[in-house]
Amino acid sequence: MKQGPEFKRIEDNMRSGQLAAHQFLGTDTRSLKDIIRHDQLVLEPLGITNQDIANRMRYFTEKAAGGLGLQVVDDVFEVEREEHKGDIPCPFADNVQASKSITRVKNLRTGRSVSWSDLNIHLVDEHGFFEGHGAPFRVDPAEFVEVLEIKASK
Amino acid sequence: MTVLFTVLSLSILATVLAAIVVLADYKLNDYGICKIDINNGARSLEVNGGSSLLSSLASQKIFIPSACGGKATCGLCKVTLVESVGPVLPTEEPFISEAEREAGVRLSCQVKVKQDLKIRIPDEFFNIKQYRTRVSEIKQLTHDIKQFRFQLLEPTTIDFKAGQYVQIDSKPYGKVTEAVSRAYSISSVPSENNIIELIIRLVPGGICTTFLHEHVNEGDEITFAGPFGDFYLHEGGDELIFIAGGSGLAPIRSLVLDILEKNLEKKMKFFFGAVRRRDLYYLDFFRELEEKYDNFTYIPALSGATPEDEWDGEQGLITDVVARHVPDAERRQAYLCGSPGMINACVQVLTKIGFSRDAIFFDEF
Repeated sequence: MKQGPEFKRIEDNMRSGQLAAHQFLGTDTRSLKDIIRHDQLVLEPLGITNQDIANRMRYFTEKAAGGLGLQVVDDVFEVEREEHKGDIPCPFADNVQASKSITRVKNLRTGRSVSWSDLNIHLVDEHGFFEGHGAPFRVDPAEFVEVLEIKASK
Repeated sequence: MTVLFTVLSLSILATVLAAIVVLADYKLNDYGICKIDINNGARSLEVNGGSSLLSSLASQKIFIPSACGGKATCGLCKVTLVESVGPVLPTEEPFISEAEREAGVRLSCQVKVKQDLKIRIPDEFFNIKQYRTRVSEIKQLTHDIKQFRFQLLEPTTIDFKAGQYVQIDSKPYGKVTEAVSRAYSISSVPSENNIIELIIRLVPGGICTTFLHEHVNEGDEITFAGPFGDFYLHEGGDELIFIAGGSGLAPIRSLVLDILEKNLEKKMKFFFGAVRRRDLYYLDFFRELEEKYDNFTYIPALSGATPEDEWDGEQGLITDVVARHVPDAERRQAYLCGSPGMINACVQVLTKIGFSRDAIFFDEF
């Protein structure tokens, strides 16, 4: 899929080390637009939107932020927050900054865990961007749907 | 033939237009030499226009505090512009209050020097220097925290107050092509003025912590600017309540050692919160201090201890532990260093105990 110069500029920014030591696109060689589109194709048959995923991430982040250690949420999820000072700007250059803190959730039914940074919530919600394959903060949509037990909102 | 001619013509036209744009950019963005007057003539600088005020001042050895290295994410690099150079930018808005906006306060990293400027900064900023150092020791303290010891090379000594911080400069590595500077609290004692020690936790994806943890070796040369900050011992308080988590132990260690060294008549209680046993460090160090000094009590606490931790010390959230050990705010001050969440929770608990806001100290970064 072709992408305009604006997306190309954002993609170049993401592949550089300007904003973070890791790259948002990881080892993924696809264009930014293709990465976003392919993740949407994973979600469409499930009837789940990127906003559904972001809302669930936000729910657990708020639960984890309320405590200073491990917590069990809804009897099923063990949540923990690793707080770090400082913010990181959104690579889409929309003047949004998010904390560098990380939320971890373990599904006690399956033993599977996922984690994300506060910026991931914004990237998923506003830009439908789950990061590229091989990126340390990649939010794999199918995995998140399973581990966080996300249901379609409509 | 016509197609070839058209393509050739368009290519030449595009090249000419690109050259005009480059030339115009060069000409229009050449701001020449700009004068910066600081504190009504206390210092006067001449800089090449076009860079940020923060970096222009740094190029003339005037160092403004900045924990994010000029990315408008920390809000520390405030200066007052005596004459306005334009509206506050959207990137600055979260950090500038209405009163500050009216007073002309701006983030110096977001102000581009395009003309002569008159600014005001606190006088103590003139004392901040840049130091060249050699990394003399690196110690792994926990799975994600390292201690770095820097031998000062130029200047050879530093004058700082326990609790203050410095800004370390990183260097390009891997795909990171730009140097950044980040703020870290000093953990060593001011009397050891030819070195500084820093305790630094690896921030996943963090440009500077990744540089320090993964790309710096003993013997390397590193520069920093400092000292900065007002997180130091303040007047008043017979008993000092120190609360820290993670790498927040750093300035507390400096404060405790400094107070003990100076034989100040103050009681101290140091609460250190961690999740599991593996997150604790300097355990024996502070236990030995506790045995040696009657006025120092050390209370480490785990919030998520498991049987394999074999932990028989305090358990629970650090806020609950503090509430159990601090009966009231009478003649007490609290010094906090840790994550924003920990600091917010501790301020709430201390306020409930009776501490006024001006008896609670912490760094705003």
